[in-house]
Amino acid sequence: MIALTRIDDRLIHGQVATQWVREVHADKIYIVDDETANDEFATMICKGLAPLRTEVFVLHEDKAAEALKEVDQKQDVQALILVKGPGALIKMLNGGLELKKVIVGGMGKRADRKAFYRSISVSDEEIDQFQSMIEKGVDLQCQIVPSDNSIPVSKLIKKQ
Amino acid sequence: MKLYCSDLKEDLPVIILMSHGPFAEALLESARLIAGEIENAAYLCLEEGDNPQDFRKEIEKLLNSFAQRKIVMVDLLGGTPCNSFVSVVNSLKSEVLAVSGMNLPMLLEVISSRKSMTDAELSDCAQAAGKESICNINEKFSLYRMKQEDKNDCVNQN
Repeated sequence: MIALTRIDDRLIHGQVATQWVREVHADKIYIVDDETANDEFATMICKGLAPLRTEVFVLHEDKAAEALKEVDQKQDVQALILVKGPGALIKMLNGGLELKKVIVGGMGKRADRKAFYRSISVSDEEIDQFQSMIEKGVDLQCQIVPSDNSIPVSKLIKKQ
Repeated sequence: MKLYCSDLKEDLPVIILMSHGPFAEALLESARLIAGEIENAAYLCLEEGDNPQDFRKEIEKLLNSFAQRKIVMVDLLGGTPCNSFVSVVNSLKSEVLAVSGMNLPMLLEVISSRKSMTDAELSDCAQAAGKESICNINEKFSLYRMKQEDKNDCVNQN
């Protein structure tokens, strides 16, 4: 089943590898990102960065929904899905994948992004994408590490 | 000497880091970046010119001040923080788990596992985490292979 879906543009890094994997007892990590999937070297690095006792898979955004629907049915799998931004998730939702909860954990500063919450920055387009995910019934929360309290993204959008 | 103690909860074991210089302080700071705010943690840094006798007394006082279970982590086996701990063991009110060679993976493991594990389990787990993360990155990712002639050069130089 899908144990956690997280937006984090650093993909696998310290917080994910040591804190989130443990929090949800993940044994498989699915990175859904075209840029990584199209780059053999980046894919190899991501697989090599697999935290102990986990396996990493890299999927194309268009093909992810089908593959992850199957993963969600497997009761003996605890999957952690990582994407760099909301765009990949919208494609997966449109592909028919059901995502109950999504955590926004890492979106770094960029020319088109404005500060949103603590270290998280988002662009206007991404705000719209967040909004459409919320409308589709996704529980969208900002939470950087498991020990933080989570804050609903809808509340933060209203404050903007 | 530099001493710090975080907010304390009753039912959570206390981690006490001890080092030569600022390592213990910095290690906790680095762990915070990854794991968020860390409760029930303390450190004691030995600074240049500190008297080892005073350091010993401070360790004894610090460890006896916690009613909770305690996990001591030191930087270097055989160094002053390690030896000072050993020398005060008999004057401690309770048994204290202590491990040497502290590093970031080890500390993160202990932070996450301390509540659910016994001292024996935590000891194994901390040591394993500390060792398992050590590897040759070039080999792990097959970044490049050393050319045969370079290898020969090395041998000849020796």
